[in-house]
Amino acid sequence: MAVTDLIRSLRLEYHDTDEAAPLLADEQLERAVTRALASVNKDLKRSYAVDGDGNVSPALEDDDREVLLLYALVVVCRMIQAKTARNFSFSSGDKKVDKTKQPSYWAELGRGYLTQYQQVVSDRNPEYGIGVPAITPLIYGSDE
Amino acid sequence: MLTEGERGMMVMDSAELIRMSGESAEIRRVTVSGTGGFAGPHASNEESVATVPIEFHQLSPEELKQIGADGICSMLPDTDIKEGDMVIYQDSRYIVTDIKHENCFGAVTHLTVKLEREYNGQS
Repeated sequence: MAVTDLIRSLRLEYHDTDEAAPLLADEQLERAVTRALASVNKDLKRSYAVDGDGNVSPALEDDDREVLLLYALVVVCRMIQAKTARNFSFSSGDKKVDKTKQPSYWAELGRGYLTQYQQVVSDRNPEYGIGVPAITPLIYGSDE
Repeated sequence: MLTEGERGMMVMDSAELIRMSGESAEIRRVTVSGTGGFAGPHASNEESVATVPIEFHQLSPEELKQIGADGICSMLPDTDIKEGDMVIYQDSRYIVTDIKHENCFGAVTHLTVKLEREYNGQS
């Protein structure tokens, strides 16, 4: 699968389809895909890489593709959070604009995607699937 | 301190608010001819300057009375408009009586234009 196809899917996911004024450039989304590939390789024990023609090889399995997009969305949210971090509010005449809450909204969205990613990965990776054992507190002096 | 990019962002955001109203108005200007002639300069005709995005503020008669205008609107900062121009908005004619360049930290974000209604060609 071509990285450009993954980038197109990513833009659809986070509603960045206005070609005249994209939220992120293709280079940034390529970076997000590359970082997601590294995470998927580590967490699902895969060995995906981008070849010289800009394709992911070996061919991405459908399930792995969805996991990869999920992590790429986490990176995208962090990128837009950084981009909007200097947003400020202003008023001029009768106009008032306040975009100061955008970074926290993107951070919240990113946390949601990360939670989903961790859930999917822990379901699919036997090492992670065990999960964190429940802690049973031992209370000294109790009858049991 | 604001950067040039941030000032530009303020202008773009204000312009977006004006364009979001989805309305436009025609600006017409009286042409002057006869400059240097025996009779001197005189208004000869009226020509259309441009049709531009506009955000017309719906104010109550009391509010308009306080402002001292029949109408008030916002226009983009680079709009070619002068005092004395005519604004045709929703089949009504207005004459421009005042133009205020709204300035925010060194950036002109938009124009606030005061209008006086013209009835049957007379104000």
